[in-house]
Amino acid sequence: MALSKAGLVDVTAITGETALASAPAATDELLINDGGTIKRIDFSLTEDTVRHAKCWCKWESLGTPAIEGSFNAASITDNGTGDTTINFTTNLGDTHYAVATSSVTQSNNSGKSDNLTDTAVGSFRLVYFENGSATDARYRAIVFGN
Amino acid sequence: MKMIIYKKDDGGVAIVIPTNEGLEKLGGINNLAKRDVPTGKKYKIVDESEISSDRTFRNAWEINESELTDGVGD
Repeated sequence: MALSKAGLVDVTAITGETALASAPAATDELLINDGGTIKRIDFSLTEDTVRHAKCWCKWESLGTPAIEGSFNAASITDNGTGDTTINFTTNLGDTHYAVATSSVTQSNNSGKSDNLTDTAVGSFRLVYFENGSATDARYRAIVFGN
Repeated sequence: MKMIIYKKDDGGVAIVIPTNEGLEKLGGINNLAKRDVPTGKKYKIVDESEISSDRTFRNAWEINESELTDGVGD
């Protein structure tokens, strides 16, 4: 029981508690004791979805391509050696999103680069290079945006 | 695991690998294929075992378009 400081709140007003079964909805409310005054916080005020990752994906194409974990990725498209498109489940609000990527070096750190292209509201494409050549590897990507 | 293949504009082969999230939210592999295969491209749904794990000549893979009989991307 959170509201229990004697003399400031009527602790008998709340007789039970129910654990949330999932993340709070925007319509859920939280009561807090602020120096004897009970304040109600609407969860819609605490949401800051701009700062949530809109997609993440971990995949590899060293053999048959495989997705090892993801969020908001409906599929990946293997376009060829080192060349993958990530298709979002839910489109982003615009194409001005940021993608952070990392790829696991296979044989040569020289000329290593992640080349991001074809950014659309529904997908983006990543081509990974080592020593100037597209290279199959293990990859991770995180997307932030609207 | 089912995958989707289609022929790219350059003649090569693209392979679409679905996630469980995608299959669930889009209502199955046919709906996912129609959405994630480029518009107008014919596709075929194949078993993962039909895709070679030897990618040595991955960019040289080819597919006869007459084999792509399961649908067309929206």
